[in-house]
Amino acid sequence: MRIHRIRVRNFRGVADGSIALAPSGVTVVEGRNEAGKSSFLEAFRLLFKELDSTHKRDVLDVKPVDRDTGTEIEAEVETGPYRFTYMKRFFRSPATELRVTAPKPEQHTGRLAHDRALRLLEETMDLDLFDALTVQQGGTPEQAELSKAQSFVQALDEAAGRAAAGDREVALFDAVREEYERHFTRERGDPRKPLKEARRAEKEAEERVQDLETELKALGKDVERSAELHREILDAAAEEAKAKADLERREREVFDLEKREGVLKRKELELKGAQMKASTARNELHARQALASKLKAAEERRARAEAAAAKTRPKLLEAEASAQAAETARVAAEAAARDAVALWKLRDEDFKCERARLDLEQLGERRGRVVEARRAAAEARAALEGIRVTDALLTKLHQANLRHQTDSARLDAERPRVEVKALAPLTAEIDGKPRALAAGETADTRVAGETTVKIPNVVEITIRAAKDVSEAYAASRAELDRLLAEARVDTLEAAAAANERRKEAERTLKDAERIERENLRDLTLEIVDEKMERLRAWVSSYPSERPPEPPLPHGFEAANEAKSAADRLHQEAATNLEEARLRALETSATAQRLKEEMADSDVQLRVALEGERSARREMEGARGTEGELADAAHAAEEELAGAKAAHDAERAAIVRADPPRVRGALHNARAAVADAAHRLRAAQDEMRDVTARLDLRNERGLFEQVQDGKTARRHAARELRQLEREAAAAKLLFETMREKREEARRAYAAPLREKVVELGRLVFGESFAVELDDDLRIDSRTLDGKTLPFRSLSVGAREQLSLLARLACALMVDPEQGVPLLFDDTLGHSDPSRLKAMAKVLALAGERCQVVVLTCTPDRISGIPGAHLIRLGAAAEPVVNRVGHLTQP
Amino acid sequence: MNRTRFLHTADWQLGLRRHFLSEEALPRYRQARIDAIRTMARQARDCEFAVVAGDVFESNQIDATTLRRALEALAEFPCPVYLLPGNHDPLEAGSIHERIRDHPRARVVVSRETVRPGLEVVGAPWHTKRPGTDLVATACRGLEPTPKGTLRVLVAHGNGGAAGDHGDAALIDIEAAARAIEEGKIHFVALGDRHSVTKLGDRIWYSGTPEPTAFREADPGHALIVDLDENECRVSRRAIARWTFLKRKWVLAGQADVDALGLWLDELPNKDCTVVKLRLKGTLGLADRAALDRTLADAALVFAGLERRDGLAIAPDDADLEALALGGFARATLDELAQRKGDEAAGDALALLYRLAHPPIGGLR
Repeated sequence: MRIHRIRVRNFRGVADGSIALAPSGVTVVEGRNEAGKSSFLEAFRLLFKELDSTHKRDVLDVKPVDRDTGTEIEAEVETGPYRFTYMKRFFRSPATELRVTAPKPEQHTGRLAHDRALRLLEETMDLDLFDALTVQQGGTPEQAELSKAQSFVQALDEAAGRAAAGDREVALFDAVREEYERHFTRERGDPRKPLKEARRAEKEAEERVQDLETELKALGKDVERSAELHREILDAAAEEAKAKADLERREREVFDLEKREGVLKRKELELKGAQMKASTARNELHARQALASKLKAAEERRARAEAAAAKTRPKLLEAEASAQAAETARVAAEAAARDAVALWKLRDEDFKCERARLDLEQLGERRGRVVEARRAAAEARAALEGIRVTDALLTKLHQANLRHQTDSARLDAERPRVEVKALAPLTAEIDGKPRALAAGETADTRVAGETTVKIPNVVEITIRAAKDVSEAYAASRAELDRLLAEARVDTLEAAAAANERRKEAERTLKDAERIERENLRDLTLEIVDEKMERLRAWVSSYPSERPPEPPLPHGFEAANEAKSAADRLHQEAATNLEEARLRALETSATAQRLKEEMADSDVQLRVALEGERSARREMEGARGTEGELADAAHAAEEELAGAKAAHDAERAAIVRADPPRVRGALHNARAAVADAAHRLRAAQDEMRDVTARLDLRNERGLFEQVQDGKTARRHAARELRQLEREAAAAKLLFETMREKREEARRAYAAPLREKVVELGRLVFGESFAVELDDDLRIDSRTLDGKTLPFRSLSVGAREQLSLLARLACALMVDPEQGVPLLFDDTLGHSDPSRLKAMAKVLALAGERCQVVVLTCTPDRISGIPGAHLIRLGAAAEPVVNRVGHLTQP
Repeated sequence: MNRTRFLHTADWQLGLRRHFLSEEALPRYRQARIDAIRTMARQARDCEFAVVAGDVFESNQIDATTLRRALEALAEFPCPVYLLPGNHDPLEAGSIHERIRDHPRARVVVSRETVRPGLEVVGAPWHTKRPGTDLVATACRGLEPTPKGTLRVLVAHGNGGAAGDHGDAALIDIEAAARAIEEGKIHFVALGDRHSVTKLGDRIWYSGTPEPTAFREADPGHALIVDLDENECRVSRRAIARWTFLKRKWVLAGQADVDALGLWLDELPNKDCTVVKLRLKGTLGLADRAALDRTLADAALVFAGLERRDGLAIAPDDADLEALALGGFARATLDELAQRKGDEAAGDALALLYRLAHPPIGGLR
């Protein structure tokens, strides 16, 4: 393909511009940054790639921001035998136009034009190669993916020797790949739709069969269950029948039992009836017997009452007479007793009178003795006057005297003896008592206390005794004297005599008191006198005042005698009266008792009579005779015994039948029937369900469905197997062939390597060498004997090598199938010497292909022999200059 | 003398599918099995009755259509038809036989049926798939010798030979059945289960299936017409089948063999009702293999079924190489694949290569 011209309108910054390229050789398009150089390349690519109606980002991006107008791209292209002008307008009034001028004119618009243009390219050139060889603006150019470029590979094939693999082999490989790609995707080798679908279909068929078989299995289970249920139902039914038969038997037994129990109940009733009847008969008989006894007792009672009354009546009469007599005797005795009392009273008065006389005498005597005593007492009291000595005083006197005597003795004993011996006659005063003493005489004295011996005119001597003896003596003496004075006597003997007299008088007083007390006792003398007076008066008046008869006895003794006689008489009368009274009481009580007894008897008789009458009336009212009643009772007893025997026999029979057992058995039998029925019903219910399910499933013809499913599965499997076999064959063939082809290619990579080396030596010198990898990329570079992997090279070197490989490739491709080499702003990293060398290589390439170099620094690519130069202005309008060729600067 | 003629058939297996049949052939095959009933109905025109000795249906779970169609066909019999439940269609719960009621001809024979006075059919039906007992022996035990002049046919189903599919328990004691015949309890035992006509005694027969069901069947496709009295029993076979199942082994060594196979296939009659199962062996070159593939592909279009078991080896010969005239990597590919002898995929790959490269590709770029 060769590009003659590219024109753009309203494309990014370019309002309208076009460039005309040299159809062969090198064209250098020069322009400053943003002059629109790259826009032409971009426009050219979009022209073929995108539809006019597209809304893709990369198309939208080229729309000028400041104008709402259509973007137009037009190119004039020559490819293979074709030459055409191709135009597209985007956004506004989109349009596509293709005008082919050679080999024969044709014209297309719209989608047809688009498709036709693509077809023309595909037919005549290698689009992959075009893409691979084009170097876009910016960055380090990557290595071209040359192995993907069909025309290049073909070129290599050719280089490796056409005889080994010609068109047929290539076409065969394509066919093989096509076959492979019918089954697998190109890139990843994934199975394609037919294979996937066949697998899915097989899986689905398998699943369906499994589903159906599961169902069929369920059905099989139902069938088995049904058979089981059938047996279960038969068993249950048989069991139920058996249970029912048993139940019937048990019910019959219970029925019989109940019948017997009914009979027993009746027998019980009969027994009770017989018991009542017998009891009634017995009671009637007893009542009759009791009635008879009662009547008899009433009669007896009446007889007893009559007899008692008859016995009591005479006794009563007799007792009443006795009582009368006794009363009379009692009245008489009372009168006698009253007389005896009157007599006794008189004789008692008589006796009192005689005793009064006696008393009068005695009183007179007692009075005389009292008067005498009173006189003696008066004398004694007179004697006592003037006597002070008492027994106590006398005793004190005796004691004081004794003490004084003692003290005196002591004084004598202990008193200094003073002996005054007169030497010449003299009168000495001893203790004041003049004592004349002759010469030689001696006066002896005892000192009592103090003794003064005075010789008048001469001397006074005072001798003092020991003081205490003398003082005690003096004291005792004083005490004795004081006591004598108190006793109004002079001596101790007088005191003793006075005391005797006093005692005699006191005794006389005492006697007089005693005599008075004994004779008067509690009376006074006045009262004695008064009493004596009264006695005298009564004694003198009494004889006249009493009844004359009987005569007053004379003397106390006689009176006493008369009184005793009257007393005896009175005692006798009183005794008689008492006896008579008792007798009267007794007889009266007896009479009363009998009277009451009589009344009692009468009452009892009346009652007995009444009882007897009533019993007799009752007897008269009773039915039947006692004999008849006894017979009836006997008959009833016999009947009762019979009923009892029958009842007992029945009950024994029932007990023997064991009612709890019979009833329990019935209960069990019922439960058994219910149980069997329940099981039967459960089995039947389940059977119904199972049958319903079976019917439902059978209607569906499940087996045939399974069979159909299996057939389908078989078919699917067969189809899958077939397809997989085909796919496996295609895959094996393709992979084998690809491998063989790669092997061959590795062989024909050699020409490319040689070409790269050839070109490279122009740039790097004679020591340059490269190795390629399987994908025809440069793997390593050797320079001056030093080998470096591609990735370790400098950016500049990598850039140059990438370009060299593209150029080598382009040079190897058939010029007819060749593509333009478009380098946008490349070799930015190369130093001037390398640039120069590269320019030579570009020029070399330009001899066989169209080479377009876009650059912003014209100096960089300045040394290309025979290059066309196009300068673009700064504005959107490019300035197109056709410069023959530049000379090297 | 009391005589009778009846038709003895068995193993109709209605509802049966054959997986090796194509989708197109299968409905026809099914229909053929219904048609066989009609054929037999015509064959039974002089018969007093007919017995189907078990496996009337392939299963109890049969489609209503199949059943209806079978009953329709059965109605064409001129005489009563006694259907015996077999191991495939036992008289268990939900049995297909329960769905046959009030049919003008068909009756399910459960125990003893009187065809007419003096003529009885006694059945030994299967009640379950695993009866666990010799049903014939069981049926015979309950029988007394027939009264003079009465004929009795026992219809049974099961394996009468050595231990078979159904296990020993259900094995039919043929000797005991023969004794029952000698004792005059029965006069003929009409058996089903074996799909080929088989005579086990003068009066003990398997009728086989009226239409073949499998390749292994030795002598299928008949029904028996039995002429019977107390003294004599004549059994004649009638061809019923329209379908053929063929199994053939071919050893292929070259084009001649491929041609012979083609000719053999070509000459087979009734191709649309014929199923062929081929077992191929030998070694073929690429061209011969391609020819074989074409031949068989063509045949598959006309036969009801064509099964191919491939044991073929593919080995390119000089002629192949010459014809292909491949060079470079293509030739290398061919050589590589040809080396992998006995590898089916390699063979297929070679065949594919041959197909793609031959006739020589021209006109391509």
